[in-house]
Amino acid sequence: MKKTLTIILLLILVLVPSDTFAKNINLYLFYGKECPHCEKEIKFLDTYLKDNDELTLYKYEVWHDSENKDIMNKSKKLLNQETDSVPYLVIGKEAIIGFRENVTENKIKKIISFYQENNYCDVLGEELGIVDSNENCDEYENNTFNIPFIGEVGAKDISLPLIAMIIGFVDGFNPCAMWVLLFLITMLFGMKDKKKMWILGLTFLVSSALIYLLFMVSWLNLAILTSRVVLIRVLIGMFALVFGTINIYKYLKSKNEKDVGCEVTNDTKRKKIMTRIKRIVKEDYDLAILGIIVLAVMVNAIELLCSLGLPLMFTQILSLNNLSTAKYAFNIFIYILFFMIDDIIIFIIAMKTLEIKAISNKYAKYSHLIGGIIMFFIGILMIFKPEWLMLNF
Amino acid sequence: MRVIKLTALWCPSCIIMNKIFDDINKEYNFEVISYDYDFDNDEVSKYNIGKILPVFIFLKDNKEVLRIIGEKDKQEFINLIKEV
Repeated sequence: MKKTLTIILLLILVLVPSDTFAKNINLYLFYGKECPHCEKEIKFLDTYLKDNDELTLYKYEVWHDSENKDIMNKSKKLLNQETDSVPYLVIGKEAIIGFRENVTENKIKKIISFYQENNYCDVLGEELGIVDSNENCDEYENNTFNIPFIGEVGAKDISLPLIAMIIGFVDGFNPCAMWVLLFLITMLFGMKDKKKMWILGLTFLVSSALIYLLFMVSWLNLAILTSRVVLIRVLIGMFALVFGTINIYKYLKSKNEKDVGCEVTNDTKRKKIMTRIKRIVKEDYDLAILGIIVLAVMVNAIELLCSLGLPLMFTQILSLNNLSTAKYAFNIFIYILFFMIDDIIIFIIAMKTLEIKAISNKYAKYSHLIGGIIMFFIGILMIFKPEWLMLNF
Repeated sequence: MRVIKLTALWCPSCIIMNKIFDDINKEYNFEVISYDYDFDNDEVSKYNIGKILPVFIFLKDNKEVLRIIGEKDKQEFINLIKEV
Protein backbone atom coordinates (compact mmCIF):
# COMPACT_ATOMS: atom_id res chain seq x y z
CA MET A 1 0.00 0.00 0.00
CA LYS A 2 2.76 2.37 1.03
CA LYS A 3 4.63 1.55 -2.17
CA THR A 4 1.55 2.18 -4.31
CA LEU A 5 1.02 5.55 -2.68
CA THR A 6 4.65 6.49 -3.25
CA ILE A 7 4.38 5.54 -6.94
CA ILE A 8 1.15 7.54 -7.33
CA LEU A 9 2.79 10.52 -5.64
CA LEU A 10 5.83 10.27 -7.89
CA LEU A 11 3.60 9.97 -10.96
CA ILE A 12 1.69 13.05 -9.89
CA LEU A 13 4.98 14.92 -9.47
CA VAL A 14 6.14 13.89 -12.93
CA LEU A 15 2.89 14.28 -14.82
CA VAL A 16 1.35 17.34 -13.24
CA PRO A 17 2.66 20.50 -14.90
CA SER A 18 5.07 22.50 -12.82
CA ASP A 19 2.70 25.49 -13.06
CA THR A 20 0.38 23.72 -10.63
CA PHE A 21 2.91 24.40 -7.90
CA ALA A 22 3.67 27.93 -9.02
CA LYS A 23 4.72 30.42 -6.38
CA ASN A 24 2.51 33.27 -5.30
CA ILE A 25 3.95 36.48 -6.64
CA ASN A 26 2.81 39.98 -5.84
CA LEU A 27 2.86 42.79 -8.37
CA TYR A 28 2.69 46.44 -7.25
CA LEU A 29 1.55 48.91 -9.86
CA PHE A 30 1.85 52.65 -9.36
CA TYR A 31 -0.19 54.60 -11.91
CA GLY A 32 -1.77 57.92 -12.75
CA LYS A 33 -5.51 58.08 -13.29
CA GLU A 34 -5.28 60.00 -16.57
CA CYS A 35 -2.13 58.30 -17.86
CA PRO A 36 -2.80 56.47 -21.16
CA HIS A 37 0.23 54.14 -20.82
CA CYS A 38 -0.94 53.17 -17.33
CA GLU A 39 -4.34 52.31 -18.77
CA LYS A 40 -2.73 49.99 -21.30
CA GLU A 41 -0.59 48.30 -18.65
CA ILE A 42 -3.58 47.84 -16.33
CA LYS A 43 -5.56 46.32 -19.21
CA PHE A 44 -2.70 43.90 -19.95
CA LEU A 45 -2.20 42.95 -16.31
CA ASP A 46 -5.93 42.41 -15.68
CA THR A 47 -6.13 40.01 -18.64
CA TYR A 48 -2.83 38.29 -17.74
CA LEU A 49 -3.82 37.81 -14.12
CA LYS A 50 -7.08 36.12 -15.07
CA ASP A 51 -5.06 33.17 -16.41
CA ASN A 52 -2.49 33.20 -13.60
CA ASP A 53 -4.09 32.71 -10.20
CA GLU A 54 -0.78 32.68 -8.40
CA LEU A 55 -0.27 36.36 -9.21
CA THR A 56 -1.76 39.19 -7.11
CA LEU A 57 -1.87 42.77 -8.29
CA TYR A 58 -1.85 45.72 -5.91
CA LYS A 59 -2.72 49.03 -7.57
CA TYR A 60 -1.77 52.47 -6.26
CA GLU A 61 -3.02 55.67 -7.91
CA VAL A 62 -0.29 58.25 -7.28
CA TRP A 63 -1.35 61.42 -9.10
CA HIS A 64 -4.30 62.14 -6.81
CA ASP A 65 -3.50 60.11 -3.71
CA SER A 66 -0.63 61.35 -1.56
CA GLU A 67 -0.55 58.23 0.65
CA ASN A 68 -0.04 56.07 -2.39
CA LYS A 69 2.63 58.48 -3.57
CA ASP A 70 4.44 57.94 -0.25
CA ILE A 71 4.32 54.18 -0.83
CA MET A 72 5.80 54.71 -4.28
CA ASN A 73 8.58 56.81 -2.75
CA LYS A 74 9.31 54.05 -0.24
CA SER A 75 9.51 51.56 -3.07
CA LYS A 76 11.86 53.83 -5.03
CA LYS A 77 14.15 54.05 -2.02
CA LEU A 78 14.10 50.30 -1.54
CA LEU A 79 14.95 49.60 -5.16
CA ASN A 80 17.30 52.58 -5.69
CA GLN A 81 15.09 54.13 -8.33
CA GLU A 82 14.91 57.85 -9.01
CA THR A 83 12.10 58.08 -11.50
CA ASP A 84 8.74 59.77 -10.96
CA SER A 85 7.32 58.27 -14.12
CA VAL A 86 4.32 56.01 -14.21
CA PRO A 87 3.36 53.30 -14.80
CA TYR A 88 5.85 51.95 -12.29
CA LEU A 89 5.55 48.26 -11.62
CA VAL A 90 7.40 46.38 -8.90
CA ILE A 91 7.93 42.62 -8.99
CA GLY A 92 10.30 41.21 -6.38
CA LYS A 93 13.45 43.31 -6.59
CA GLU A 94 12.67 44.56 -10.08
CA ALA A 95 11.05 47.82 -11.14
CA ILE A 96 9.59 48.26 -14.61
CA ILE A 97 9.11 51.87 -15.59
CA GLY A 98 6.86 52.92 -18.49
CA PHE A 99 4.89 50.76 -20.85
CA ARG A 100 5.62 49.78 -24.45
CA GLU A 101 3.35 47.30 -26.11
CA ASN A 102 4.97 43.91 -26.68
CA VAL A 103 8.21 45.04 -25.04
CA THR A 104 7.01 45.65 -21.47
CA GLU A 105 4.54 42.77 -21.58
CA ASN A 106 7.36 40.37 -22.46
CA LYS A 107 9.59 41.80 -19.77
CA ILE A 108 6.89 41.38 -17.12
CA LYS A 109 6.32 37.77 -18.18
CA LYS A 110 10.06 37.08 -18.15
CA ILE A 111 10.55 38.49 -14.64
CA ILE A 112 7.57 36.54 -13.32
CA SER A 113 8.83 33.33 -14.88
CA PHE A 114 12.34 34.06 -13.52
CA TYR A 115 10.96 34.35 -9.98
CA GLN A 116 8.83 31.26 -10.46
CA GLU A 117 11.99 29.29 -11.16
CA ASN A 118 14.32 31.03 -8.71
CA ASN A 119 14.27 32.34 -5.16
CA TYR A 120 11.65 35.05 -4.99
CA CYS A 121 11.50 37.76 -2.38
CA ASP A 122 8.88 40.46 -2.10
CA VAL A 123 10.86 43.43 -0.78
CA LEU A 124 8.04 45.94 -1.05
CA GLY A 125 5.49 43.46 0.34
CA GLU A 126 7.71 43.01 3.41
CA GLU A 127 8.01 46.78 3.86
CA LEU A 128 4.23 47.19 3.59
CA GLY A 129 3.51 44.24 5.89
CA ILE A 130 1.81 42.25 3.13
CA VAL A 131 4.24 39.33 3.45
CA ASP A 132 6.49 38.03 6.21
CA SER A 133 10.21 38.53 6.11
CA ASN A 134 11.88 37.36 2.92
CA GLU A 135 14.42 34.65 2.48
CA ASN A 136 17.42 34.93 0.21
CA CYS A 137 16.36 36.07 -3.19
CA ASP A 138 17.91 35.84 -6.63
CA GLU A 139 18.76 38.82 -8.76
CA TYR A 140 16.97 38.89 -12.10
CA GLU A 141 19.60 39.21 -14.81
CA ASN A 142 18.42 41.27 -17.67
CA ASN A 143 20.18 39.94 -20.75
CA THR A 144 18.10 42.02 -23.08
CA PHE A 145 18.40 45.32 -24.95
CA ASN A 146 15.79 47.63 -26.33
CA ILE A 147 16.30 48.48 -29.97
CA PRO A 148 14.16 51.23 -31.48
CA PHE A 149 11.49 49.90 -33.87
CA ILE A 150 12.48 46.28 -33.13
CA GLY A 151 11.80 46.05 -29.42
CA GLU A 152 13.39 43.96 -26.73
CA VAL A 153 15.98 41.50 -27.91
CA GLY A 154 18.25 39.15 -25.99
CA ALA A 155 22.03 39.60 -25.88
CA LYS A 156 22.40 36.32 -27.77
CA ASP A 157 19.91 37.53 -30.41
CA ILE A 158 22.27 40.42 -31.12
CA SER A 159 25.66 38.84 -30.67
CA LEU A 160 25.14 35.81 -32.89
CA PRO A 161 23.99 37.76 -35.98
CA LEU A 162 26.84 40.20 -35.32
CA ILE A 163 29.32 37.32 -35.31
CA ALA A 164 27.60 35.99 -38.47
CA MET A 165 28.09 39.38 -40.16
CA ILE A 166 31.76 39.70 -39.24
CA ILE A 167 32.83 36.13 -40.02
CA GLY A 168 30.67 36.01 -43.18
CA PHE A 169 32.13 39.30 -44.42
CA VAL A 170 35.73 38.21 -43.77
CA ASP A 171 35.00 34.85 -45.41
CA GLY A 172 33.56 36.67 -48.44
CA PHE A 173 36.86 38.44 -49.05
CA ASN A 174 38.45 35.13 -49.76
CA PRO A 175 39.06 35.53 -53.50
CA CYS A 176 38.85 31.85 -54.47
CA ALA A 177 35.61 31.95 -56.44
CA MET A 178 35.61 35.66 -57.29
CA TRP A 179 37.45 35.16 -60.57
CA VAL A 180 34.54 33.09 -61.96
CA LEU A 181 32.09 35.92 -61.30
CA LEU A 182 34.42 38.46 -62.92
CA PHE A 183 34.88 36.32 -66.01
CA LEU A 184 31.13 35.63 -66.19
CA ILE A 185 30.35 39.36 -66.00
CA THR A 186 32.85 40.05 -68.81
CA MET A 187 31.16 37.41 -70.95
CA LEU A 188 27.71 38.80 -70.10
CA PHE A 189 28.83 42.23 -71.35
CA GLY A 190 29.04 40.70 -74.82
CA MET A 191 25.29 40.03 -74.82
CA LYS A 192 22.77 42.44 -76.22
CA ASP A 193 19.88 41.16 -74.10
CA LYS A 194 20.13 43.08 -70.82
CA LYS A 195 17.36 41.05 -69.19
CA LYS A 196 19.24 37.84 -69.91
CA MET A 197 22.41 39.36 -68.44
CA TRP A 198 20.60 40.08 -65.17
CA ILE A 199 18.91 36.68 -65.06
CA LEU A 200 22.10 34.70 -65.72
CA GLY A 201 24.17 36.74 -63.28
CA LEU A 202 21.56 36.55 -60.52
CA THR A 203 21.09 32.82 -61.14
CA PHE A 204 24.81 32.36 -60.58
CA LEU A 205 24.76 34.37 -57.35
CA VAL A 206 21.62 32.72 -55.96
CA SER A 207 22.84 29.23 -56.89
CA SER A 208 26.21 29.92 -55.26
CA ALA A 209 24.41 31.11 -52.12
CA LEU A 210 22.23 27.99 -52.07
CA ILE A 211 25.24 25.69 -52.45
CA TYR A 212 26.95 27.49 -49.60
CA LEU A 213 23.75 27.16 -47.57
CA LEU A 214 23.76 23.43 -48.23
CA PHE A 215 27.37 23.16 -47.05
CA MET A 216 26.67 25.17 -43.93
CA VAL A 217 23.54 23.20 -43.04
CA SER A 218 25.55 19.99 -43.41
CA TRP A 219 28.32 21.36 -41.18
CA LEU A 220 25.72 22.50 -38.66
CA ASN A 221 23.97 19.14 -38.54
CA LEU A 222 27.30 17.44 -38.03
CA ALA A 223 28.18 19.95 -35.33
CA ILE A 224 24.85 19.42 -33.53
CA LEU A 225 25.21 15.66 -33.80
CA THR A 226 28.70 15.73 -32.29
CA SER A 227 28.26 18.69 -29.94
CA ARG A 228 28.30 16.45 -26.85
CA VAL A 229 31.45 14.61 -27.87
CA VAL A 230 34.25 16.51 -26.17
CA LEU A 231 36.99 14.85 -28.21
CA ILE A 232 35.48 16.01 -31.50
CA ARG A 233 35.07 19.53 -30.17
CA VAL A 234 38.73 19.55 -29.10
CA LEU A 235 39.80 18.16 -32.49
CA ILE A 236 37.86 20.88 -34.32
CA GLY A 237 39.40 23.43 -31.96
CA MET A 238 42.86 22.13 -32.85
CA PHE A 239 41.98 22.25 -36.53
CA ALA A 240 40.97 25.91 -36.04
CA LEU A 241 44.30 26.62 -34.33
CA VAL A 242 46.26 25.05 -37.20
CA PHE A 243 44.13 26.71 -39.90
CA GLY A 244 44.31 30.06 -38.11
CA THR A 245 48.09 29.81 -37.78
CA ILE A 246 48.44 28.97 -41.50
CA ASN A 247 46.36 32.03 -42.40
CA ILE A 248 48.37 34.33 -40.16
CA TYR A 249 51.56 32.88 -41.68
CA LYS A 250 50.16 33.52 -45.17
CA TYR A 251 49.60 37.15 -44.18
CA LEU A 252 53.11 37.54 -42.78
CA LYS A 253 54.54 36.00 -45.95
CA SER A 254 52.49 38.21 -48.26
CA LYS A 255 53.35 41.32 -46.20
CA ASN A 256 56.86 41.34 -47.61
CA GLU A 257 55.92 40.46 -51.17
CA LYS A 258 56.90 43.19 -53.58
CA ASP A 259 54.40 42.39 -56.32
CA VAL A 260 50.79 41.89 -55.28
CA GLY A 261 48.49 40.71 -58.02
CA CYS A 262 46.56 37.73 -59.33
CA GLU A 263 48.38 34.52 -58.82
CA VAL A 264 48.12 32.26 -61.86
CA THR A 265 47.46 28.72 -60.72
CA ASN A 266 45.96 25.60 -62.27
CA ASP A 267 45.61 26.65 -65.92
CA THR A 268 43.72 23.49 -66.93
CA LYS A 269 40.95 23.86 -64.35
CA ARG A 270 40.53 27.57 -65.10
CA LYS A 271 40.44 27.10 -68.86
CA LYS A 272 37.84 24.35 -68.51
CA ILE A 273 35.56 26.62 -66.49
CA MET A 274 36.13 29.54 -68.88
CA THR A 275 35.24 27.42 -71.91
CA ARG A 276 32.08 26.30 -70.13
CA ILE A 277 31.07 29.90 -69.35
CA LYS A 278 31.66 30.96 -72.96
CA ARG A 279 29.43 28.13 -74.13
CA ILE A 280 26.70 28.86 -71.56
CA VAL A 281 26.24 32.52 -72.49
CA LYS A 282 25.62 31.54 -76.11
CA GLU A 283 22.83 29.09 -75.21
CA ASP A 284 19.09 29.81 -75.16
CA TYR A 285 17.45 30.89 -71.90
CA ASP A 286 16.59 27.49 -70.40
CA LEU A 287 19.86 25.82 -71.24
CA ALA A 288 21.84 28.87 -70.19
CA ILE A 289 20.13 29.00 -66.78
CA LEU A 290 20.68 25.28 -66.28
CA GLY A 291 24.30 25.66 -67.33
CA ILE A 292 24.84 28.51 -64.87
CA ILE A 293 23.36 26.46 -62.01
CA VAL A 294 25.66 23.53 -62.84
CA LEU A 295 28.57 25.96 -63.08
CA ALA A 296 27.80 27.43 -59.62
CA VAL A 297 27.62 23.94 -58.10
CA MET A 298 30.88 22.95 -59.78
CA VAL A 299 32.84 26.08 -58.86
CA ASN A 300 31.67 26.15 -55.24
CA ALA A 301 32.40 22.44 -54.82
CA ILE A 302 35.90 22.88 -56.26
CA GLU A 303 36.60 25.95 -54.13
CA LEU A 304 35.06 24.47 -50.97
CA LEU A 305 38.41 23.65 -49.40
CA CYS A 306 39.55 27.21 -50.03
CA SER A 307 36.88 28.49 -47.65
CA LEU A 308 36.43 25.71 -45.15
CA GLY A 309 37.69 27.05 -41.84
CA LEU A 310 35.41 29.98 -41.09
CA PRO A 311 32.02 28.40 -41.93
CA LEU A 312 33.05 25.33 -39.95
CA MET A 313 33.89 27.47 -36.94
CA PHE A 314 30.68 29.46 -37.26
CA THR A 315 28.46 26.38 -37.36
CA GLN A 316 30.30 25.07 -34.29
CA ILE A 317 29.43 28.30 -32.44
CA LEU A 318 25.80 27.97 -33.55
CA SER A 319 25.57 24.37 -32.36
CA LEU A 320 27.03 25.30 -28.95
CA ASN A 321 24.25 27.85 -28.53
CA ASN A 322 21.48 25.29 -28.97
CA LEU A 323 19.05 27.50 -30.89
CA SER A 324 15.66 26.94 -32.47
CA THR A 325 15.60 25.92 -36.15
CA ALA A 326 14.34 29.37 -37.12
CA LYS A 327 17.26 31.04 -35.32
CA TYR A 328 19.78 28.67 -36.89
CA ALA A 329 18.31 29.52 -40.29
CA PHE A 330 18.34 33.25 -39.59
CA ASN A 331 21.98 33.29 -38.48
CA ILE A 332 23.12 31.21 -41.46
CA PHE A 333 21.15 33.54 -43.75
CA ILE A 334 22.97 36.56 -42.28
CA TYR A 335 26.33 34.79 -42.69
CA ILE A 336 25.68 33.97 -46.35
CA LEU A 337 24.32 37.44 -47.08
CA PHE A 338 27.52 39.04 -45.79
CA PHE A 339 29.63 36.35 -47.44
CA MET A 340 28.05 37.24 -50.79
CA ILE A 341 27.82 40.99 -50.29
CA ASP A 342 30.98 41.88 -52.24
CA ASP A 343 29.86 39.68 -55.16
CA ILE A 344 26.38 41.24 -55.13
CA ILE A 345 27.82 44.78 -55.11
CA ILE A 346 30.29 44.03 -57.92
CA PHE A 347 27.54 42.43 -60.02
CA ILE A 348 25.00 45.23 -59.53
CA ILE A 349 27.57 47.97 -60.30
CA ALA A 350 28.68 46.09 -63.41
CA MET A 351 25.12 45.63 -64.68
CA LYS A 352 24.17 49.23 -63.99
CA THR A 353 27.30 50.88 -65.42
CA LEU A 354 28.43 48.20 -67.87
CA GLU A 355 31.85 48.70 -66.38
CA ILE A 356 33.54 46.07 -64.30
CA LYS A 357 34.94 46.99 -60.89
CA ALA A 358 37.02 44.73 -58.72
CA ILE A 359 38.26 44.56 -55.18
CA SER A 360 42.00 44.92 -54.97
CA ASN A 361 44.00 41.79 -54.25
CA LYS A 362 45.87 43.89 -51.71
CA TYR A 363 42.96 43.27 -49.31
CA ALA A 364 43.17 39.50 -49.64
CA LYS A 365 46.13 39.42 -47.25
CA TYR A 366 44.11 41.26 -44.60
CA SER A 367 41.32 38.72 -45.03
CA HIS A 368 43.94 36.05 -44.25
CA LEU A 369 45.07 37.96 -41.18
CA ILE A 370 41.60 38.68 -39.74
CA GLY A 371 40.28 35.21 -40.67
CA GLY A 372 43.38 33.65 -39.12
CA ILE A 373 43.04 35.59 -35.87
CA ILE A 374 39.32 34.76 -35.62
CA MET A 375 39.98 31.06 -36.19
CA PHE A 376 42.90 31.03 -33.76
CA PHE A 377 40.82 32.51 -30.93
CA ILE A 378 37.76 30.39 -31.64
CA GLY A 379 40.07 27.36 -31.59
CA ILE A 380 41.46 28.32 -28.17
CA LEU A 381 37.96 28.93 -26.80
CA MET A 382 36.66 25.64 -28.21
CA ILE A 383 39.38 23.73 -26.44
CA PHE A 384 39.61 25.57 -23.15
CA LYS A 385 36.49 27.73 -22.68
CA PRO A 386 33.61 26.45 -24.87
CA GLU A 387 31.09 28.02 -22.48
CA TRP A 388 32.31 31.47 -23.60
CA LEU A 389 31.13 30.63 -27.10
CA MET A 390 27.65 30.00 -25.72
CA LEU A 391 27.39 33.79 -25.33
CA ASN A 392 25.55 33.67 -22.01
CA PHE A 393 26.51 37.12 -20.82
CA MET B 1 58.13 53.72 -76.15
CA ARG B 2 56.00 50.62 -76.63
CA VAL B 3 54.15 48.81 -73.81
CA ILE B 4 53.20 45.16 -73.83
CA LYS B 5 50.25 44.73 -71.49
CA LEU B 6 49.53 41.21 -70.24
CA THR B 7 46.29 40.78 -68.33
CA ALA B 8 43.44 38.31 -67.78
CA LEU B 9 39.68 38.87 -67.86
CA TRP B 10 39.14 37.13 -64.53
CA CYS B 11 41.87 38.96 -62.63
CA PRO B 12 40.77 41.72 -60.20
CA SER B 13 44.24 43.29 -60.13
CA CYS B 14 44.21 43.50 -63.96
CA ILE B 15 40.82 45.27 -63.87
CA ILE B 16 42.18 47.80 -61.39
CA MET B 17 45.48 48.29 -63.25
CA ASN B 18 43.78 48.63 -66.64
CA LYS B 19 41.98 51.70 -65.40
CA ILE B 20 45.09 53.20 -63.80
CA PHE B 21 47.20 52.52 -66.89
CA ASP B 22 44.58 54.02 -69.25
CA ASP B 23 44.58 57.19 -67.14
CA ILE B 24 48.37 57.41 -67.17
CA ASN B 25 48.60 56.70 -70.88
CA LYS B 26 46.40 59.69 -71.67
CA GLU B 27 49.43 61.73 -70.74
CA TYR B 28 52.24 59.51 -72.05
CA ASN B 29 50.64 58.15 -75.25
CA PHE B 30 52.58 54.89 -75.28
CA GLU B 31 51.96 52.51 -78.10
CA VAL B 32 50.14 49.67 -76.33
CA ILE B 33 49.89 46.03 -77.36
CA SER B 34 47.50 44.03 -75.15
CA TYR B 35 47.57 40.28 -74.73
CA ASP B 36 45.21 38.12 -72.72
CA TYR B 37 46.87 35.50 -70.57
CA ASP B 38 44.33 32.82 -71.50
CA PHE B 39 43.60 33.62 -75.14
CA ASP B 40 46.97 34.71 -76.54
CA ASN B 41 49.09 31.81 -75.37
CA ASP B 42 51.74 32.04 -78.08
CA GLU B 43 52.49 35.72 -77.52
CA VAL B 44 52.31 35.46 -73.73
CA SER B 45 54.80 32.58 -73.65
CA LYS B 46 57.40 34.79 -75.36
CA TYR B 47 57.64 37.11 -72.36
CA ASN B 48 58.35 34.65 -69.54
CA ILE B 49 55.98 36.42 -67.20
CA GLY B 50 55.97 34.23 -64.08
CA LYS B 51 52.99 33.69 -61.81
CA ILE B 52 51.68 37.18 -61.08
CA LEU B 53 49.36 39.28 -63.25
CA PRO B 54 49.11 41.92 -64.63
CA VAL B 55 52.45 42.56 -66.27
CA PHE B 56 53.44 45.73 -68.11
CA ILE B 57 56.60 45.44 -70.23
CA PHE B 58 58.12 48.69 -71.49
CA LEU B 59 60.19 48.44 -74.69
CA LYS B 60 62.56 51.04 -76.09
CA ASP B 61 63.96 50.24 -79.55
CA ASN B 62 62.53 46.74 -79.06
CA LYS B 63 64.60 46.26 -75.91
CA GLU B 64 62.94 45.75 -72.52
CA VAL B 65 63.72 48.67 -70.24
CA LEU B 66 61.13 48.21 -67.51
CA ARG B 67 58.77 45.54 -66.23
CA ILE B 68 55.97 46.40 -63.80
CA ILE B 69 54.29 43.43 -62.16
CA GLY B 70 51.07 43.33 -60.14
CA GLU B 71 49.06 46.12 -58.56
CA LYS B 72 50.64 49.52 -58.09
CA ASP B 73 49.00 52.78 -57.23
CA LYS B 74 49.00 55.53 -59.83
CA GLN B 75 51.86 57.59 -58.40
CA GLU B 76 54.03 54.54 -57.82
CA PHE B 77 53.46 53.49 -61.44
CA ILE B 78 54.36 56.98 -62.75
CA ASN B 79 57.50 57.08 -60.61
CA LEU B 80 58.65 53.77 -62.06
CA ILE B 81 58.06 55.04 -65.62
CA LYS B 82 59.95 58.24 -64.89
CA GLU B 83 62.99 56.26 -63.85
CA VAL B 84 63.44 55.15 -67.46
